[in-house]
Amino acid sequence: MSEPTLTSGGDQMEAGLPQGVGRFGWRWSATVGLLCLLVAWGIFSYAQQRLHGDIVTGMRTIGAGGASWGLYISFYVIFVGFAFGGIVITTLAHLFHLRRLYPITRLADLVAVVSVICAAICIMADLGQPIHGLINLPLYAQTASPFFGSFTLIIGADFMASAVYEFLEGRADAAVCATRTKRFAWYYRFWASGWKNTPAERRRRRRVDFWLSLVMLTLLVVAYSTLGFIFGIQGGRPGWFSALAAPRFVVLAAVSGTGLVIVVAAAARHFMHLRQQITERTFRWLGNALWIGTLIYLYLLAVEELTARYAADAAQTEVARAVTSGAYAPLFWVVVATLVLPAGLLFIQFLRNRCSITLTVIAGLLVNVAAILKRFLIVVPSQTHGQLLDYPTGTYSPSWVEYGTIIGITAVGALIFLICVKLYPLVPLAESRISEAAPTDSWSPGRRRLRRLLFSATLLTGLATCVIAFALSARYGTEPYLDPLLPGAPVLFIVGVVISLLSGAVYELIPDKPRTPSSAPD
Amino acid sequence: MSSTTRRDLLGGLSAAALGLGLPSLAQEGEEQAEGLAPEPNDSAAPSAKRANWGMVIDLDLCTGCSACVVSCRSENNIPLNGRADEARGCEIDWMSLLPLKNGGSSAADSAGAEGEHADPSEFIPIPCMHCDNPACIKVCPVNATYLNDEGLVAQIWDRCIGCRYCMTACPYSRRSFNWKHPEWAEEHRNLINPDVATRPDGVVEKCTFCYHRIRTAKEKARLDGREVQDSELQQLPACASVCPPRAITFGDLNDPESEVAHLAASPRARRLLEHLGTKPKVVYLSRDRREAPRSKAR
Repeated sequence: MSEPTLTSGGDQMEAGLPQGVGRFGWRWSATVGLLCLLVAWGIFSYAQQRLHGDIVTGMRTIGAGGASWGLYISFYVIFVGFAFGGIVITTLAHLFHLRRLYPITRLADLVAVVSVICAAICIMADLGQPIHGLINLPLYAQTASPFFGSFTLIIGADFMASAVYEFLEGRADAAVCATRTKRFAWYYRFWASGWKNTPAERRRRRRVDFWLSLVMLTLLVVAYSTLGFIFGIQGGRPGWFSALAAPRFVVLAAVSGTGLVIVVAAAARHFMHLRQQITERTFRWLGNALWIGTLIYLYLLAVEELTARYAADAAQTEVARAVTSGAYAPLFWVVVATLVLPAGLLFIQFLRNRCSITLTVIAGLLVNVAAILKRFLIVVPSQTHGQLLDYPTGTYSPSWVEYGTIIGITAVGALIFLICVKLYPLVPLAESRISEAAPTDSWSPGRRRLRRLLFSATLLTGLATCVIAFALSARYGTEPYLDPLLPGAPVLFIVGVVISLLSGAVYELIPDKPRTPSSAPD
Repeated sequence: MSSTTRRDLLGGLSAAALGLGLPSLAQEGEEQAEGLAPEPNDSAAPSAKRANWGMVIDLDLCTGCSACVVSCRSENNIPLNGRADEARGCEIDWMSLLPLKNGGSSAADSAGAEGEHADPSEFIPIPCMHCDNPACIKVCPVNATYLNDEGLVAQIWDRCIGCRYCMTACPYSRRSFNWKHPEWAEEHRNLINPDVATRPDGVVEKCTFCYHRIRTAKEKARLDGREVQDSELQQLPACASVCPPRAITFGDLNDPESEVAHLAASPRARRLLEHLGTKPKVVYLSRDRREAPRSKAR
């Protein structure tokens, strides 16, 4: 099962690293160079915004003929959606032991990590006072705002959860890599943190995988619903105000994330020569997940539009009319087409029990066209057309500054991804799975007790910190205005969530044998 | 904080004596922003009862002359907008005139309303509603806007991160964003009101019910050892003070004797978008029994 590049084993030690890790070909370098140019363009665009104010964007005041949120918030939602899709695939694979997804779990998780970073930059780009944002959000974030969930749970906790997961998941492979290179052995040894590939370790790995996935899935649905609430609980904004906002958001996030993972997996398969590792079976599963998700989303879309057109109040109907048959109609029908088409193609593929990777990738791209346009259609029309008073309807078209910044942010994401690809193997190695020896219970009872004790202590500390910090942030039992009881309590809340998640790492990292040096990295 | 509030009375003399010098605009900005928070002195003031500021706008008197709009801009240091084409959609308006489609007469479909009286004005003056249940403060991620003890929806410019969430949440669209650095023409610079902070670009701003004037009135009353009189308050905000037909009345809704409380209890009284449950403290008076300014949704 090992890939052909490994067996060549030249005298150059780095050449022995799998999947092109540590080797920088011209194609990789050229892509990175191009991405750097795009990032520079993004920085230049954003600099215009900082120099001349937000007037250089296409955004304007609501009621005075514009929309106050535009491309940045749309793409924030899109990136967060990618992150959701990426983590959902990973967690589902581990919860239900979907073996065909194992080759792409780490890739999907990396997509999630990168997307969260992009989402955070999008928010920063949107802020009129980004420095105030960096200082005031950690200090004063208030729990009643749906942004609290986005800021703490998504940007903070989910990012850390994915990173912890990526770290734990990569240990086995890092141990293999450490034997293949001299120059970077220290780095892989640090990552492997004492991984010996013993049955006991593997059992612990599986157990942590399962529980971490379960916790993350719960956290995800909560966290990503808060993102839907940003729009869904605005009673004064027809078109946003809807109980369907959160579920609709979660479903489209899963669809677009799955689409992106399909595209990235196919690209990795093609450019990194991973045909044997990432097989058709993986794409078949992803393709099926995609058409099911897309159909659910189409159903939600139909229900919502029908309600808005048929029986909603005048203002909501006006937004729905603008979207389906007014100023935004071309975009809307492209969305419908780019959802129906891939769903249909993939369904036919499912019926014929075949799998074409090309077709699946096209479907993955199409649903993302739909997702991007749909996010725009969620964010903008309610601001330009959803006025309850007699304000004139507005218009919004993004300026080159916004396009430039978004391109730059996307390039940052791609760049991080490409760099990570050279830091560790993207697809779990076959070698790290070989020694499926009969499980011999070699755990010393003392160690087991210590492990349980430390694990419980970490988990309880984390949970207690969460509860206390949330209570302090929410200012329960105090006057209803101003600061958290403890400045910085929002950050403490994130720290609590992260400590809780790190309990998994503690459980895994306590070594079995007393003579092994302690190796918890943090 | 207190040095700002007493400055009107004690002047530069005491400031110089304290060795403080006159505060710069920027420093004053902070003080002004913080000044919106309830003042500790207030509890020691003769009237221990909290005020609940409100405004009544009589649409039957309003002529749509825009004096309130101009006065508000001048009083509150609202920057000029530059050329009209550049400025489209960037206007900062704490008080503006909302044109009613069809002069509002098409809305005569409410119960009991037979459009026998045409709406006298085709515009309604629309400041911040200072809701008792404001949508904007719930969504602010950093508590840069909050409901103070006197019922004002206050905004701390220095804390605002410019996310514009409050703008999307406000059903009345009564919040403005500084899309660019504030600018004043040379001849206007000397006219900047030192009692009101100027705001930087990238923050959201809004009507304060001229809180600086309220504070000055309270200080005056406190030094005279009396309570603030309703007559002092009725035309206190900049918009009310210049209204030729005196269509705008301001005052304490908690004071049952106040003019504003009387007017607010009038059968002609209506509030904007009441069905949203935002409980606005700006009340419109109109002969019509229909909901004063037309709203699309009921």
